[in-house]
Amino acid sequence: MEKIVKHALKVDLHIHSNKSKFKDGNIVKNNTIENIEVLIKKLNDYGVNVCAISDHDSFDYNLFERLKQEENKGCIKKVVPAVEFSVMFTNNQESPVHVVCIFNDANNEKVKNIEQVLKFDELTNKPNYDYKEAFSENKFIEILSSIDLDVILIAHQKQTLTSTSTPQENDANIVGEEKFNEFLISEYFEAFEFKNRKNQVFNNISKSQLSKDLLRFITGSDCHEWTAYPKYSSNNNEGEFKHTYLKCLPNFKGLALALTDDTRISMEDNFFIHNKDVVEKINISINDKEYSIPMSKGLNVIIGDNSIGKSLLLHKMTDYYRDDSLSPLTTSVKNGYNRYLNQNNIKINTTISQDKIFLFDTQGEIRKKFNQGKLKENDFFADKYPPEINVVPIKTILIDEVDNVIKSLKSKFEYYEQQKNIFDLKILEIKEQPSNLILINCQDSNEKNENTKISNIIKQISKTTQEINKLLSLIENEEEINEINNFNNFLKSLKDSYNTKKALLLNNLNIINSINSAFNDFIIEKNKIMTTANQALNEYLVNRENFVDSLVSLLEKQVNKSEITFNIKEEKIKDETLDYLNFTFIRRTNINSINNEYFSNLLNFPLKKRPLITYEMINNEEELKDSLKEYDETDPIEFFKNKIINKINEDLIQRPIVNKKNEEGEYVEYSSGLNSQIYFEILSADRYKNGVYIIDQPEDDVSPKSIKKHLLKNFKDMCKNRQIIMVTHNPQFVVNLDADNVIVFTKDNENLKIESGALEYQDSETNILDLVATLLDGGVETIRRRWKRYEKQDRD
Amino acid sequence: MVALKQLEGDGRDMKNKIEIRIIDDCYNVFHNNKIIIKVSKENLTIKGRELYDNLFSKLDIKNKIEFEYEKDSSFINSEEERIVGDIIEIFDLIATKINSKFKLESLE
Repeated sequence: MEKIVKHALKVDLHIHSNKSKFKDGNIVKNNTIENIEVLIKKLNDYGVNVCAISDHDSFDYNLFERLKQEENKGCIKKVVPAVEFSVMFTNNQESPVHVVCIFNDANNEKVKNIEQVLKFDELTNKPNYDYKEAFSENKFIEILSSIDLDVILIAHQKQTLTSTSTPQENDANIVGEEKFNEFLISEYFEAFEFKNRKNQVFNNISKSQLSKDLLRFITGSDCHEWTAYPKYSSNNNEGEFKHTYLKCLPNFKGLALALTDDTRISMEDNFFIHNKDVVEKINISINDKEYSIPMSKGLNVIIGDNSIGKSLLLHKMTDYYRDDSLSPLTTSVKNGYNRYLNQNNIKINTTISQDKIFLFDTQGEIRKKFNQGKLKENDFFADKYPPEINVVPIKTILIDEVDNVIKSLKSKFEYYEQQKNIFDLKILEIKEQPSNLILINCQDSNEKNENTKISNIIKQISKTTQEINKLLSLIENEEEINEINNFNNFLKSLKDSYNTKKALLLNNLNIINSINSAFNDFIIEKNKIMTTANQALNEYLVNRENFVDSLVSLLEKQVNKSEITFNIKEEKIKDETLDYLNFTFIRRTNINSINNEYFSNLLNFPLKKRPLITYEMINNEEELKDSLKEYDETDPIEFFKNKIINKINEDLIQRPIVNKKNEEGEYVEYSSGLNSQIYFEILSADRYKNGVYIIDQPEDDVSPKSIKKHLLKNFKDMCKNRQIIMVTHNPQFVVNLDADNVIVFTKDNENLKIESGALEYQDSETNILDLVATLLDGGVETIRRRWKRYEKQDRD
Repeated sequence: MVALKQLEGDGRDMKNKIEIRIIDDCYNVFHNNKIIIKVSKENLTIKGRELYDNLFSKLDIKNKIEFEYEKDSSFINSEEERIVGDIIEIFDLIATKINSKFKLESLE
């Protein structure tokens, strides 16, 4: 038996035999065991892989057994025991509901016993109906209990649920709306059977109106005349019958899983879109034992205990190419992996070349991508965003206008400052006028010469008197002495006369000096007056110059002063957008237009709000300083300007945004918290790039809620288009995704053991569901929820 | 007192008429019949702000500024004449500097 689903199964679980003759009459009379070859040929001709004879309220074991002998001879891979029950679920039903029951064939004795349980009444030669020509619901349940086999229930719903006509005989919705809703909500039936191909469209509408998970439709031929297969009968002119394909292994568990998951049911064999980049198998040698693990084209999950080598397998198979900054594959980890392989004598003989890899998200990488903000600009998304918006023209308009405003502000401030330089001028006041008198000094040279002459005479007389006295001491003659004394007396009177003259002369010189001194004092005083006047004049002239200059300068400032005005023409800033699949990748600035109102707010942005100050109210630098928010004592005008320019830059920052159409067809913007959702949505939607998607523990990066709500669908979509190889510890990824291939790593006496197969795979050694239940935390609960009422199997 | 001569025309010929009269111990300076400053004889001070606000801030500086003066005939002494002369000199100085600064040329 194949371990994984390589091809979808074409099924027909609703074929009648002669056993239904009690109800259908002669139309089935030739559908006998003797004529089984007719049916076998037809089934092979139509490539049917799984089939069932499902007669009305009865079972022909021999016929079942005969058909079963055809398994694996031609197309037929599985024949399952089945009965079409007629059940009256309510008292006021107009007709019974036909329910095709598919039984588990694992226990042949119990299968054989079905015929006995449904033995006809000997008198009527009909089933033991307890309510009109049908079984009541209680009886139906009683019969199923007696048969005691796992069962899949498929109800007739040949008329579409969207039809406004009266419900058709034997369809499930004949029970009325209330009971039918109960069927849906309780998932009473695994699936609903229809036949007319045209109804498929309407069934899809019904599925979209209700929860998709609650309604599953498959086709059944309801063939009553084998020669006409797959038609109802040779007389029937209905259109071409379309078989249903199921993605499952050909066993009861596979059928049960497929019929309870809409993504495993299709009217086309389109579960795996052919992709050339597929890993067919993984070859591993452990202690010289060779393992060849078949790989599904869809989802392959690798599970097992921690540190058993799951991540190692991914990195080794991809030849360690992800040893970059986002990967946990450091040199020491790589060395550790190689050591582990050597110590355990493990050889991984399969290599996935880089060109066959769509993407390899290593453990924890997606979260790192989000944390580092790389989601929006990394290689994967880079080509999805449009080029940046050209904001240069907008910025130029704004900056130019800011420059004008700053110029105006400066001129206003300069005018204000110059006003402070204006002063009052005092006109020069002249209080004293110096005299115009000309003073000529007295000349004293004659007096001085006379004085010198007289002084010399007096000096010579004194000298002569001394010499005569010397002579007198030498002379003894009295006469001569008398004569000499007389001469001395003469000299004395002469000297007295000259002394008198000299005294008069000195008086005259003193008077002259006094006059000249008075003249000098007068001139000094006059010069002093002249100097003070000149100084005052000079000072006045300088003051006057300054006075004039200050007035002219103020006038100049007034002329140059301009009021703050601006005219910003309304300009829209359009998003740059690029559509990609169902998304629009957008670059958007923080503002969507500029105009006068915006610019006015921009000018007020650096100013305090309390008290409210606007740029028009500011007249000088001091007022500006007091008005600025977070002012740092630098040049206030520069501070003001820088704040405005920073705000412009901030407003023109381009945010990368992703929009996606919602169910109403409107674009909704994703919040940053939904990065992972966008990431996986885009990955799953990418149908153009080939290659295998390898991911190591996606649950590390996404919340359990998000896994359930979004990721499961993303992965289901993705595995239709490409092969996925995933390492996980989360049972949701294994069970709810209905993994196509589960590769289980366990330790068997310290030796690594590898088992694999589809979720439904089971043989004498391996039971994949059991392994999942055992190895994964929460595995049992997840399987129970998925396995629904197949608890019997679960218990087994 | 000499009455202020009003010149009328197309405006191009309009000249700035400055008249100075002594009233109540003040030199009163008029411009086109409106008083612009008063200079008290006591402190002989020209108030810059008043002069700017009342005259120069209002001048049309598209054309060359030229003042024509009319003086009060009742000046009694040379000191008063000197002061009036100084005031006129100041006005002319300002006019010259404005003309130079703004490169103003006469229309004639």
